[in-house]
Amino acid sequence: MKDCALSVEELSKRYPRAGGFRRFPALSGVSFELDRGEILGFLGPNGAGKTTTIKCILGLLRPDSGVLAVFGSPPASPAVRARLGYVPENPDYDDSFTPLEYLSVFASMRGIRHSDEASRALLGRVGLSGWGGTRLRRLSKGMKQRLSLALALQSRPDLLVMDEPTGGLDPGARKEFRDIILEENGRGASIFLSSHILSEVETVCDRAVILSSGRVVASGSLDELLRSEDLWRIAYTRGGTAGSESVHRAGLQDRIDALRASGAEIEEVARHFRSLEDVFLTATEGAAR
Amino acid sequence: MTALPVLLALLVPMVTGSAAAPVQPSDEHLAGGSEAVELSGQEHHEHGAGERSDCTAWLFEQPWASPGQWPSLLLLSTILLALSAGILLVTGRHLRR
Amino acid sequence: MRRILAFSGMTVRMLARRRTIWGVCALTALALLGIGLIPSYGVASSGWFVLDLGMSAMELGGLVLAIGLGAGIFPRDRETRILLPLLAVPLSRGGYISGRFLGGAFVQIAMTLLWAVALMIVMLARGLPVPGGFLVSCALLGIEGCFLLSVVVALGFRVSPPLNAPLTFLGFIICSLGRQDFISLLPGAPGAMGLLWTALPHMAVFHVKDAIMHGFRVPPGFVLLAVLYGVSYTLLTLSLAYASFSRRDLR
Repeated sequence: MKDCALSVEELSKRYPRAGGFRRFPALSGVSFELDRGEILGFLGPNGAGKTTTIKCILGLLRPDSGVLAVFGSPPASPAVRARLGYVPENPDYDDSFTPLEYLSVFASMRGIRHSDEASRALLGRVGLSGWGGTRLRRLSKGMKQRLSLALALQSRPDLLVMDEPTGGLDPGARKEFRDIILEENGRGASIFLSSHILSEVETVCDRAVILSSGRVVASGSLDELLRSEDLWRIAYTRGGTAGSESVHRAGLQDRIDALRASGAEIEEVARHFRSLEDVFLTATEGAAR
Repeated sequence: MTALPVLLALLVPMVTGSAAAPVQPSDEHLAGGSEAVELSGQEHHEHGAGERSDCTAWLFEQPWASPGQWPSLLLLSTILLALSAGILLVTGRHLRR
Repeated sequence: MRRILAFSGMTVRMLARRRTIWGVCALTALALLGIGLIPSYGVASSGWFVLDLGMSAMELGGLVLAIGLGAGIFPRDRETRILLPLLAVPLSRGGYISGRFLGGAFVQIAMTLLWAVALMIVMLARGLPVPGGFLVSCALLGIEGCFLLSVVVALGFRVSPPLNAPLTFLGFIICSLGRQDFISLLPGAPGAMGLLWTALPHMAVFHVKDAIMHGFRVPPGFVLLAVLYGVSYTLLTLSLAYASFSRRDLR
């Protein structure tokens, strides 16, 4: 097996239908890998199976079939769990506790040394300076999300699994989260980022996997995904005016010849790059058909 | 194999209730013997403190007062502990697979 | 083990901040106060009467407390979604059950001790002697409370709190029946009912109040046996809860 942070092979999971005996497939043969030190974006429409995949990775769900390995070991093993950090989607906590109390208890449960100074520094890093002693019932949803990030970062994890971490955050907070993701990646952590926010994935991820109806419909490096196989862009100047146009590869040479014949000077011929939104919509709509 | 008869011998008293059989009043008791004081009518008696009689049978049938039941309780507890250990072992092994 | 203890400490803090526990505590304190105010004539002038009522109130208080502490633990953890980050990283499922139970058991025993002290104060205030073995009797009620808590916690993984409470209460009543009373529930099958009765936990094992009330000495060997009995049933209940919970998908 390749030495990667996370390896998922032919993962399948079926859920029972409410009130019926038949089970519907939530995941069907999902396979992908996350290399060490890489940031992988995990995309898909609602109900595509993203959270199911994450719960399988974390050992909260038992897959019906398939092989899952985190750093080459089963995800439930204590050694693996010690290297994991998890930021859940829309977290909520017992609101009678304070962020400092949560950090203290989680540190004890993880068996790591805990000091109030370190906890306060961590809270400062996620934007919760001055809120450490406030009961959670007085914190906003975004602040609880920040606490989740602090809890995940506390053990300096080698693999950070994030399920819609910036959902419900304002643009400023999203930027702070992105910066922290990049900092953690710079430290050497591998990041598994499930998100609906395509611009975020486009900004921070090295590779992306797109899921639709429980199947992987597209995957690869962002460069590969965004680069169009068929479309090319021709930049030219004619009579002192700059222009550009996109053409299919099949008609590329003819079009260049035609432009030259019309007196245009060709400046650049390059592959046409699509937006991640285009890629996402094409892949998921194609799968839906 | 010898364990089974021993097991049954210890558990059967709990099931059949022979270890905690209802206390039968003695003839002397029924006749209103020297230790009983008749108050009104033939059914009313008064006994000395801590004395076992048909009226105090419920007290003496409680587990703390029935040493005959104790080996069964001990055996049952041991079986339950072994069963718990078995369940934990099997579940742990199942999860590791 | 340190992880489980840290989590149980968190559970104690969580439970101590809930209103349920203080409500049960206040109700039981009121009951004990009421017992203290019973007019001193007739049978009420006897120490055993106050002791009998007081310890019965403690036992019922223990049952209600166990339900109040344990019934909402798992459903609430699921609802608030704290369960996912807990089980995803720092805790195993066995650690979760153990930590939550140990925290609840600590509160249960602390409350039983508090009630025991309150009952002692009531008795002393009325000029009644506190019999030897009183604390042992209360300790066994604490063990009974912990067993009931384990049942409530185990049921909590499968049923909602409104169903958990009546089921536990029904189980408590059935387990308080004597052999003959239990068999009389289904007189047509005395053998099967007798066998079932044997396998059921008997609350009577934890009851030594009648002994101390009437001046009998409870053999220390029996006290140890009762503790072992309670611990073994509690462990079995928690093991079954673990076996069921560990196979469960947390969707």
